[in-house]
Amino acid sequence: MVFSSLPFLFLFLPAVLVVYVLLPGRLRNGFLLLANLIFYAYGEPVYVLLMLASIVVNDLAARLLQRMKPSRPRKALLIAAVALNLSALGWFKYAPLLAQTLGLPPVQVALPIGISFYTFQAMSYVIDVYRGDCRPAKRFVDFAAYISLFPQLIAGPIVRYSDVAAQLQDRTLSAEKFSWGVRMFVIGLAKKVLLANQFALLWEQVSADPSAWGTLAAWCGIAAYTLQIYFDFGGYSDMARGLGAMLGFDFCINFRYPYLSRSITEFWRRWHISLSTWFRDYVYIPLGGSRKGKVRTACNLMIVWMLTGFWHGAGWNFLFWGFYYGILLVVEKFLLGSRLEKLPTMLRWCYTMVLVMLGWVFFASPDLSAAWAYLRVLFGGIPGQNAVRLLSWLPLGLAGVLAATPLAAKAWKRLDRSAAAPWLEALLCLAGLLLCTASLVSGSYNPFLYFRF
Amino acid sequence: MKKQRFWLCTVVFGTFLLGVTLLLFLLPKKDYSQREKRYLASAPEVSWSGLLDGSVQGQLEDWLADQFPGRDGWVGLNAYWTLATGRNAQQDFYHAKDGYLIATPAGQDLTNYKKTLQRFDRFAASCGVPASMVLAPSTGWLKGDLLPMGHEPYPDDAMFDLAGELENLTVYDFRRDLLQADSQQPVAYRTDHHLTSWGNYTLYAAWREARGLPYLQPGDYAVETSEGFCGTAWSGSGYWLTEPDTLELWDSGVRVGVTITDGGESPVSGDSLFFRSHLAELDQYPVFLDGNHCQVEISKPDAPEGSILLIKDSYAHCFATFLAEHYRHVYMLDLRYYRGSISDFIAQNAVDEVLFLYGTSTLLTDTNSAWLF
Repeated sequence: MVFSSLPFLFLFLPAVLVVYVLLPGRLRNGFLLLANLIFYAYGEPVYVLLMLASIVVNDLAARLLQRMKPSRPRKALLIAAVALNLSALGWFKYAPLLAQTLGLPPVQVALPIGISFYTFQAMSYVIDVYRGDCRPAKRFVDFAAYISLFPQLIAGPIVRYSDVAAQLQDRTLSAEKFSWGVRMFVIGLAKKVLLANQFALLWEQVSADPSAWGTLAAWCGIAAYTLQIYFDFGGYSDMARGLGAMLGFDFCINFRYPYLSRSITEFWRRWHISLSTWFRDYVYIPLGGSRKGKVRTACNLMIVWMLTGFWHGAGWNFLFWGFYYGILLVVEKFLLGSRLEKLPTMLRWCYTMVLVMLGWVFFASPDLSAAWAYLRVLFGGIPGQNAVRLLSWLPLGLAGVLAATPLAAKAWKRLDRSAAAPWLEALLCLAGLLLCTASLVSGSYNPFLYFRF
Repeated sequence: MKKQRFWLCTVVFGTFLLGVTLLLFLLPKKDYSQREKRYLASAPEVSWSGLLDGSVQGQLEDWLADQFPGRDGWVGLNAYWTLATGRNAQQDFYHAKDGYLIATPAGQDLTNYKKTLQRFDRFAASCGVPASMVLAPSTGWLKGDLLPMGHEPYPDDAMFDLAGELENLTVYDFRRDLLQADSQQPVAYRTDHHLTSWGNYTLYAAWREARGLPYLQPGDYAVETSEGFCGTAWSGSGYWLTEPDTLELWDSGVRVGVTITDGGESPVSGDSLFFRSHLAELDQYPVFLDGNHCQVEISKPDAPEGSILLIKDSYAHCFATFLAEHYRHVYMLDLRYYRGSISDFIAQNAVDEVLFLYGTSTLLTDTNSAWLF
């Protein structure tokens, strides 16, 4: 079930919120677990068992790790738990690609929704318990509710157990928090339905036959994808944070206006923050981070970013996408360094955006050959016949560009203290709900980019 | 003030979600949508196997979308929102000037159309009677000046050029006549893809004149009008605020017998070209010969000319009402439904000539010419 769907908005969510609010606090985690399982089983009726198995195994591993004293068997247990998690991810996500690449008999296995997210959460839990950074959950139901928590189950953010451990034990619902959650959810829903889904149409149009559209249209197409992926993923993260707040949780921010970045290094501090920090804490730093000389640092960066790329999808284009960012980050760290900072801000922003957009070509293309073909059109100076048709996207494109900046938030701050602000806020909330519902009822295009991660 | 701030959005959100959910369960369910011309999804049948393979979930989503409270209103809101945000040229129907709703071109690829033309031409060579073709251009081509900036091009010109190259089929091109006639009265509906009665009369008169045959003058008809015609473009677009069309019935007073035959059913007979019960519907176009059927025969035993067979799509329904005057038998076969041998039909019914009558938009995608044998 995705948030931007009629069954979620008009069946699942009202039922869950009403019961959740009415239940006494001690029963809420149990009910939340039930709701999570229904939410997941709706989309994955069979793989819900896989998620339950993952929950049981990781819960058990954490309890055992807690009881054992520092020793080799304890480390072996941690390695076994991590290996088990990675094996499940490897089999369900990467086995078909590897079999195909190596010419082995095809592996016919569908990817369970959200496996990349909940596996990473589970791994961070056992590693944190091993390191002594947190204690295992007291009750199985708390841990199970955390791993399967429906607001962030299928598209993140990757919430660390240590960040929500206290909230799982004790959290309060407040009108203020709920209201903030509503606003955040509606903003996210509008980003997804009114922007991302619409930009997807333009990208689909152009990417279907880029050479016929020509160079100008190809740049418009990749700009549309650049907005689409941000509003899709960012919108989903906003909705997750909003739903979390309605249930009494505080989830970390996952996107901080990434398209304002003036370097690739800054971009990755603003984009999918929960994933970058996960890789930083569980891969980059354990590998030695930047403490072991330039060569090791460069290697570590390349490893982390190739893994980041491969995490996003089982395709060689995703690995290349990660490799591309690894190279860029190494170059910025060791070659460009402070020289980049001396350039005018606008130039640095242009440099970043062009590289980010070129990166999306590899990300969005079905394979590497399609990506190269698209790049050839981008730089080929090919005259297109239909570029004028793209003019009708201009108003929404401008709205998208504005919405990717903090301008609206800044403008709102000015209004915030006026007497009309609450009413205006409620009106905008209603307008967002009406337009999103209209779009969903009209059967508007509603693919969810991060659905298969 | 502070309290109000915390509650307002929550109240809006809660009232909206719960209100719609309650209405969804309380409001009576509909079986059929007149605007969409289809049966709406019914409640899913829950079973374990269905839940496991996801079919129950799919049915639930269909049911929810189809039975959503105020469904048509939401579709309209989305259509006008899309229009207001500048994406008119990206929709399936253009919100054109002068209140026209115009379908986008059915396609740009002429491969299927060329294959259809070859089949028509081969049939014309082998059927043993004279065969000709009249094509009705698309509204988008006729009303090109009204289209929004950035619209897709209509391939009608290329289609007429290709048709003109055929060897055995005599192809008539009345585009200029239609454009001239349009300066007097509209030849295309604003809310439907078909030609108006005036447009059809123009085609009929031009075709008869081109062949040196007599035809009636506009003054020979009693014209009856019907308001409130909301055609396929209206239904498909969601632009509910568009003013409906006026449909005209041009009646020369001719007395005919009409026999409608659909596959596997007994023929139905009537004595009028116009099936007035359809005037009470949103889409009134089926008033002409009751809309789409496999086989229709119009007979006028005392007419001066013999038998003509129309191989056609729905563009011919209004056109055929003008022919009734002149032929003892006007046969109409729709290749979308007719599965018999057309050659045998011609022989069995002593057909004197064949006329292919189609809208260009149909022939871009329709593959049923494969049944022409």
